[in-house]
Amino acid sequence: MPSSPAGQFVSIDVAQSLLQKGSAPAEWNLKAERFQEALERSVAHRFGRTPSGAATNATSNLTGGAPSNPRSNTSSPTSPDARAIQAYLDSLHVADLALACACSQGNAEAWDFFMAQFRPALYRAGRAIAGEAEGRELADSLYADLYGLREAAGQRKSLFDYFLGRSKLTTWLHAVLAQRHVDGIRRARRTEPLEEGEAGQPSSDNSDARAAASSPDPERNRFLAILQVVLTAALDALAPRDRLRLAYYYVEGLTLAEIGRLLGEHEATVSRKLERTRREIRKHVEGALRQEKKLSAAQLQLCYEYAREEWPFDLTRALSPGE
Amino acid sequence: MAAREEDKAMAGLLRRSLAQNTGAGEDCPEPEILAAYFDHALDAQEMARYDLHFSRCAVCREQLAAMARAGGDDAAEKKAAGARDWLAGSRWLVPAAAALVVLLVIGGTALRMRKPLAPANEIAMSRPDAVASPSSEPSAKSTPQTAPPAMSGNRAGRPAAPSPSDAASAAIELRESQTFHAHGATSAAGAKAAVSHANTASRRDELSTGGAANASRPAGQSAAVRPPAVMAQQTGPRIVRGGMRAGSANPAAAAPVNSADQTATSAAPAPVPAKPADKTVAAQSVESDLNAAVEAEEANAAKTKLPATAPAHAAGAMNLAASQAMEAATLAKMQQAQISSNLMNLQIPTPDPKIFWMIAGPGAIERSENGGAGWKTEYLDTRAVIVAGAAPTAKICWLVGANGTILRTTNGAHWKTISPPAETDFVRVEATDALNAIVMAIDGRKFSTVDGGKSWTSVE
Repeated sequence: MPSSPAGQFVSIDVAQSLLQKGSAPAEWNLKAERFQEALERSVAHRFGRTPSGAATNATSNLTGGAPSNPRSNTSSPTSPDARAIQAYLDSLHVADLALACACSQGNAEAWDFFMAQFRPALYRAGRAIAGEAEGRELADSLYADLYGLREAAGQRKSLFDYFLGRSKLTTWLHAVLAQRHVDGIRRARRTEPLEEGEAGQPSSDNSDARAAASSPDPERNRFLAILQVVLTAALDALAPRDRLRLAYYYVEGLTLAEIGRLLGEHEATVSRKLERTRREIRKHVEGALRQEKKLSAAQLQLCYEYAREEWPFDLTRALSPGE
Repeated sequence: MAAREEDKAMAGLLRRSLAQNTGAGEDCPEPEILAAYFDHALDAQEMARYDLHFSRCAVCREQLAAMARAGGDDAAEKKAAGARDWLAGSRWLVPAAAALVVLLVIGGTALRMRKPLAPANEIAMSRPDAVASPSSEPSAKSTPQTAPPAMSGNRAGRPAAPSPSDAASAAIELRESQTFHAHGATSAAGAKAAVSHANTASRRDELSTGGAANASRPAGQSAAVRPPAVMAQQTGPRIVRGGMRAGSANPAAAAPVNSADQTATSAAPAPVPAKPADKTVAAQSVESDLNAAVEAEEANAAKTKLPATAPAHAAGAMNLAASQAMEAATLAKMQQAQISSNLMNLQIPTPDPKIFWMIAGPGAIERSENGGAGWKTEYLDTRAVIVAGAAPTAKICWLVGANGTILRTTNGAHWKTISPPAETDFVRVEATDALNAIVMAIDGRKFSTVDGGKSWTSVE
């Protein structure tokens, strides 16, 4: 495993003490040096110096980073604040990181421990994410990579090496599962673009199309387009978290509790803020329709009425690629 | 248009607009960051940055939503916490975490009860024996086929109600809260009548003995039979959902409940002995599944007429047989019972066993595409009570309800209000596709459409 120069951020003593804090059993045979490498990798990832071969480049690609988070693509080392590093190290889930480290090394005891402790939850998560049938498969697909069957540049590479200890190991495993699942779904969507159209009965599509075509009001599509433009603007104007909350609720269909879990808010807060955001958007949209688009109250009503009806087939398609 | 309907329109608009992937680039964070975000372990600046990204990136949001479903899962965390403490030597935390998991499941179930429900459901919910015994439902069904009618009700009642007095009190409770008893008695009678093509007089006989003079016995029987099945069906999916969402440590327990539910719904086409007397019994017991009740009667009736035809044909034929057999007055009573029972959440199966709808309360319907593990709530244009539904395909679904409510979706997501043939309460719908459907009003009138509800014809 390639690593950043030993001791650049984390001294061996610090690694040793953190390893003790993680209270890894002796039979895992986890050496302080090895743990130190993992800590180095984690710190480097966090503070912007990505060692080759380790974690991916997502952080460095993100723009608008914090000033205290210098991304030095040059070789000049901008050493992060030692105190910041210490605080970061203290915040890590060292027990989980030690387990990941030991498993990555191929220690059988650690692997057994991992299987005993995490496997049931992993299957459960797989099922919750992908459903009964595919959940197991999804979870199983992870093991080969975790075990490190894949070789990169002659070295055994375990998925565990990507774990940074910034989250619980469980959460990270869920994130990996979720990513694979979503990737899979999106791939399937791309390769089967007709699926959605086929699933609907041809007769119904025809009837919808006819309904749309024979729509008594020729302005229908114009109104819908206006509404869409205005609404998009209103959504853009929202604070990110407000928009996020709405999307979790309306697009992902999460419960208030799940949204609260994601945003670190109480359910009641989620509910209240959703309501407030809805009101704001409504006000914004209606204001814009009246003032910018010069719609009358009656036309406004028409807009809503159109929006309630089934939309023309192609328009629906174009507007909700994510569905 | 009412303000609430505008809200509804707005909800649809929001859904469409927010689903768009605006401004998402190639810079989606890797799972390490997603996980840290999920655990709220990022610092404030990182947090703000990713909030912004996620608010525009449908891909990341989908992943976070999946994580929330899997791992919002405090149960898994508790378990992981338990594992860590086990490492440190305090083993007692593991059972404690397990207990918490149980609590969470119950809590999750309770949370899902946010919609108004009929009292009977609460009664049922509070019956631990019913909750804990999904297996009692199959037994309730199998017993009557071999036992004489009078015995079968009692026997079937036993698994749910340990003693006769319990059964009786359960029956009374149910009778008081709902009109179950009329339902049980009349539908049994209706089934018998349908089966034998009986004349009205004999049916009246049946009704007056079963429904009035001797009311308490058949009612008690069928009510006693019903609770476990009701539970299996009504709480089954809830447990699954609550479990999945709260991160149940007990998916194994949830699965059998769910399958029991499936057994119940698939019970209608099951082969039944050909003698009318047996059929009544079967109808009575299968009727314990509220959804399958009418179908069961019909299936049974059809069996006599069309012994060897496919279930699909049977369903169509039956419909007529059953409706002819029922008198308006008893029908109204029965449907009253069905309305109240349906308030407890009605499942609407689709041809795809993994996909079903559930009537979730006034103005709301839920859809699951993964056998009940995840649910998506859809809000309808109406606050009217939805009473029944029919889903001829995975994407097409018809709903009917009070005050002339008829709705239909042809794509599994967007609901269209269909103008009704009469301003009455509809209690039942049969549909073969998006265009052809028959709705039944509470007064027994039936109307059919062949053009998706643009026009209706009264059916005799």
